[in-house]
Parts: sequence; structure tokens; C-alpha cells
Amino acid sequence: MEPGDLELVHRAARGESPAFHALVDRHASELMRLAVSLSATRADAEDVLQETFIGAYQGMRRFDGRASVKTWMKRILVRQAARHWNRSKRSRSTLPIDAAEASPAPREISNGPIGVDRRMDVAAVVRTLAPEHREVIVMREFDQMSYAEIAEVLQVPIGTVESRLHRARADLRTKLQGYNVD
Amino acid sequence: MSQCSYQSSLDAYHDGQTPPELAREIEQHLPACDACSAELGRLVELSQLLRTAQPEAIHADELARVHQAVEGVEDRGVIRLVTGLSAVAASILIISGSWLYDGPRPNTMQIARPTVPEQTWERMASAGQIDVPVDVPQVGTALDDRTQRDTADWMVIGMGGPVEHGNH
Repeated sequence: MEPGDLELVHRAARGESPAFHALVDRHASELMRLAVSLSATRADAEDVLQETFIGAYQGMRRFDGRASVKTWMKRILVRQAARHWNRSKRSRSTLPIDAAEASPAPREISNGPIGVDRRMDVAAVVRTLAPEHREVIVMREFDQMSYAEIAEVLQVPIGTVESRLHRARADLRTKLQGYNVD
Repeated sequence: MSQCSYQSSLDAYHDGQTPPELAREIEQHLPACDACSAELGRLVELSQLLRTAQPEAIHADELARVHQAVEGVEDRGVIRLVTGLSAVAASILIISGSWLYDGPRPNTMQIARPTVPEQTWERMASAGQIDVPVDVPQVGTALDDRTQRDTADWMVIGMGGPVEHGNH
């Protein structure tokens, strides 16, 4: 039977290096998707992901196990992503290269496979949201996290998660006006 | 059209986050409320659109670099530990060496100091004292008086007495 996340953290804290690498293998994909959604570029997302795991490695002896390991790592990631975003915002005078204008032109969606262009457009629009709105939308819509889980990651009340989600969706609907889904 | 009282709960209902009882109420309400039905339809549409923007999964090379980054931190931790232990070991060596160098030395070397009677042959020679013990053979008569006087009698006489030597 595979060891649970908490068991792996305890083993890693005792110096068993393979245990931490097992945690990386287990959670890297999901965390990378979250990082990409919260970052300006994929390269930034990779930096955020590495910093997240390094932060987790350095802090695992202090991990008290009150939250799940995944929640704890997502919390680290969201903070790292916010720091990265603020740093890169200062050096960015315009939106990232893969971001379309704030309200991209609507296009007809065919029954065929989703084009890369549309994915990039929608992703770019998500990045134009205010950080606190982007975080809740990404965690809810991409990661399918519950309100309680999102609240735990962001360390805010559930009611705050609900209201931020509501405003984020209203903002997105305005910006994505004209996009049709078959 | 005034906002329906259930509209504020539609986000949570759409996300499956409403308590079961409220969820049942909304389900019963929807067929009778165009506003709520329309709003729910927009929420569903938005979620479907957003799902098209799901980022790609992590690439193999990205995952490899994450592992390398973690290994780098692990190595730095080991180096720090080894450096610390080396510093402690060096301190112990220095302190031990210093203690051994400055510590008490056993008295293994004693300079032999012969104990001789108060009147040594050096003192007798310088003081001009010549005592002729009875058992010391006289200088041969073949020597004339002057020669006898010049003879370092004190050397012979002084050597005739008991000499006490220290332990070598």
C-alpha cells in the first residue's frame, strides 16, 4: 500500500530523500497547472513550482499536519505565484505576449477540437482578472476545489470565497462576451 | 425584474456547494423562475468555456528540473552539515593540541648533581688547601721538592676522598 502524503512528509523530514521526491511526482502535475494559471508565462510557472517545492522541503519540519499536504503546498504556491506576479508586473509594461487584448474579438466555435488560439485567448483573459479573483476562479474551475478547500488555501472565510467567485465570474462574462460554446 | 431571492445562491448551487436542503429548494424553484434558469445557464456556459483553457500537464523536462532543484537544496543542506561538523572537529583538535602542549610534563630528566664534600677539589685548588689523607700514597720520592710542590696534589688528594654521585 502506498504511503500517504503525511507519511511521506514525515519520512522526508527524517532525511529520507526519496520520500520527498515521491511527493514531487505525486503533486507536480496538479501544482503546475495551478502555477500556469496564476503566472504570466510558463517559464514563470516553472519557477513558481520549483520555489514551491523548495519552500515545502525547507518548511516540512514545521508542518503541523492540520491542513492536508496538498492544501499546504497549494498555499505555498499561491503565495509564490503572487510574489512572482508582482515582481514581473513591475518589469512588464504590457500584457504578456500570449495575452490578447482585454476583450478579445468573439469568434464562432466549431464542433471541431478546441483550437490552441481559443485556449490562449481564454487563458489570457483569466490573467487579466484581479489576483484575488484569478486565484478563486482557477482553483474552482480548473482544480474543482471545494469552497472550504479554497478558503483553507487562501486562509479567508468561505463567504469571502463565494463573493470573490461571484465577482470574478461577472467580470469574466463581460470580458468573454461573444464567445460561444456549442 | 426584481432579483429572485435564490439568485445569490446560484453560484454555490452550480458548484455543488449548497447544503442538501437548499439544493432541493433551488431545484424545485428553477422550473418556475426564468431569471434563475437563465443565470444558471450562463454559469454552466462560462464553466465550459473556462475548461477549454485548462493548462497543459507538466512536461517531463519540467518535472526533471523540479527534481534537480530539490536535489540542489538537499545537497546544500548536506554541505552545510559537513562544514559544521568539520568546524567542530577542527575546534576539538586545536583545543586538544593546545592542552597537550601546555599540560604538565613528567619529570623524567634529572640532572645528576654529584654531592661532594664541602671542600671539593676545585675549591681546595683555588683556596690552596692541601690535606694529605693518611691512606693516600705519597708522591714518589724520586721527584724533587719543587716537582712535588708543582704536582697537583690537590688533584690526587681531592680525588681520594669519597665522592657521592647522584643517580644517572
